[in-house]
Amino acid sequence: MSLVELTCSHVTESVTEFLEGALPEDQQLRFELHVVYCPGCTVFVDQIRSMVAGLERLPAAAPAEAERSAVVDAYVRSR
Amino acid sequence: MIAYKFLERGRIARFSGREWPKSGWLETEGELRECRNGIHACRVEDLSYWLGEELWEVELAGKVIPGKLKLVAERGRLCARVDGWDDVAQAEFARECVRRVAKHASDELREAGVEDDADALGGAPDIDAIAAAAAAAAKAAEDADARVAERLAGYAADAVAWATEYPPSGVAFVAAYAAQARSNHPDVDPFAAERAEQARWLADRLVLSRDGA
Repeated sequence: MSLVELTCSHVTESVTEFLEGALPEDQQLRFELHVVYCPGCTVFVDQIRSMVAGLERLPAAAPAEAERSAVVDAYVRSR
Repeated sequence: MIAYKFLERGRIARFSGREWPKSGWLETEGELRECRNGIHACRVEDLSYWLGEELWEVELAGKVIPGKLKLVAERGRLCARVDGWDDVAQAEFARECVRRVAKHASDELREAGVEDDADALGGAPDIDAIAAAAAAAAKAAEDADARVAERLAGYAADAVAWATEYPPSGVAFVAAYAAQARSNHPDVDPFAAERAEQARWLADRLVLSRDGA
């Protein structure tokens, strides 16, 4: 396994899987190693982590019927 | 067994965000898995991959499995902070990494026949001199159509910038990347060899135990 292959683009593409622990082990390790030395990706990962934590704190609420219908209609039109 | 752990300021683990207690054990449940589940720490030879603000000596207990570049244990506790890993040592380490990038570039320049600039870069006494010599060497290598040497001289200039502007983990990576970029590095895995040299420097400078106990 090369430890130099991961780029910042890979980090941005796989950050959600990383935070969910869903990356394969070798990719998880390479992701971690990249973040250790890359100040930009450190900030990026921290921002995404904070955003996810913030969303998880929001109360669960069902959408209003009109909004729900609009979303369903938009989905149906897109198919 | 005794191992080491880099933490962010306030004893915060970089990836889990967990604060390690000053005293007492951290414990984990379930199957130990690298990067997934368990108390993670590292051996001396792994240190240069995981650089952070605070370095701690930790004790690992229960089941401990060796992983790639890390150890994973059922339990861990902080023993003592390695006070030697302070701002002075971090700046020294960063300068050492710049010097190591310059050495890789100098060796590559010499192999490419750009010997005067190889001597100037290899003999530069400080990072300001390395920055100036690297810029001149990159131009000389370009003129000689020595592309790898030109790139490595560029890395030496990059290393100075990283050492000046960012934590030392950045310039340590640049040094390993520069080793990997060499045309004829004597090691099979130049990246790992460079990281191992960095770890030896850290162990010597910080007087760390190299053997788990």
